[in-house]
Amino acid sequence: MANDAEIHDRLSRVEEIIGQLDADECDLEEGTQLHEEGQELLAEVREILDEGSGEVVELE
Amino acid sequence: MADASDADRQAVEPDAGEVLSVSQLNDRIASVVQDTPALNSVRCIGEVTDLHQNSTALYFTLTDGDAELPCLLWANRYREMDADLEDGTEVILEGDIDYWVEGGKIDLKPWEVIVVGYGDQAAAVERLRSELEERGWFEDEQKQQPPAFPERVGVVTSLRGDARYDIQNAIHEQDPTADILVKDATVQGSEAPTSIANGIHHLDRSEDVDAIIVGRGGGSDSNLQAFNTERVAEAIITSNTPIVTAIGHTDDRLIADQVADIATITPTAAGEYIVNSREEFLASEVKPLEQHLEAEYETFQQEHEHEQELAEAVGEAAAPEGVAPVYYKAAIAVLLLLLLLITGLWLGVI
Repeated sequence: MANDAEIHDRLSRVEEIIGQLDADECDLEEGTQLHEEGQELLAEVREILDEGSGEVVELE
Repeated sequence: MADASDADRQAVEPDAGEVLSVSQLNDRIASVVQDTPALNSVRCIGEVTDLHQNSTALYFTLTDGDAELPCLLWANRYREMDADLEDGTEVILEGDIDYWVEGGKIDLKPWEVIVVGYGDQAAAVERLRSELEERGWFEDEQKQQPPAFPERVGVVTSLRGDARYDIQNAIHEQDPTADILVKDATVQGSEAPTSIANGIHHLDRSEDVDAIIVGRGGGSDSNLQAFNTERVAEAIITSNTPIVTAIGHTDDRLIADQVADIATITPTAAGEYIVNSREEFLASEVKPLEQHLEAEYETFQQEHEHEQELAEAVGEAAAPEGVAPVYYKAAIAVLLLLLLLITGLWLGVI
């Protein structure tokens, strides 16, 4: 399956986290947890983009 | 030619084993063409295709659907004629067959052009186009958007054609991780429509194919006829998988292009379109978001640390003072003693 949804969902959540940090709606500990979540999501996006072997299959 | 000279005979019957240069051989072919009465003042009926012109001449291909013949009509001669040629015009040409020595190509050079009407082939394509338009097959509502990050791309083309490698290279240039499934198809001739349609159906049934490219390299209008058939158009319109056409041509009037979700003008362009550039996406989307997140968190952290420092300072300021100085304690002790003395005196104890 195409990876569009997986990538889009993660990037949207990161944008949400940025919004939450910007709005300053949480304490330092919660903010640190949000920051870590964002970092993890972005790492996952990189992993998704790296998935696949790029094989070429011929069908007669 | 009973009394042909030795030289003439040599031209017709070359020495066995003689090695000719390309120029010599082409000269020999040109002589044969020129000296063959059957190739002079020929009359030929067919349909004009691939018409293009410059200030010197009109170049086009004459076809009857099964065979083609390149033609060249000098521009000054054309201007004197009462003939208006365009793709699809059916004509009777009268002229000589000529062999171009430098290019090694044969063509018909007409001096007479009789327009018969509009060609059968072109008329049939236009009829089909109108019919499919009425059915709504060209409508934007019918179009699907191919995914930006397909895991597996299907390709319907000839396994041995250049188009296949152009598509493959373009895809892997953009995203080396995308898998490619190439379904062999006959892309020209009478078998082509069925072969292409079957290829599309086959890949469409494969659940893990995210998008399909259908294509071939450039060719004459006749070579591309399969992409003007209802069979191929129907395979495209009924496909659940998004279809991108990749037919190398400059004419944007192929029916397959009009029905497809996306039409590109070359196989390479289709390969580049079908997958997002991984590097470009990282640079334009992921990296900026990463930087934004870090910057936002740094600001957030600084604000909260500052608040914490302030709270601590306020806390310290509000806290009770430490041990009083000794003289203050002594004063309190003296006052207590005085109080006791006064109390004692008042009670008459002392």
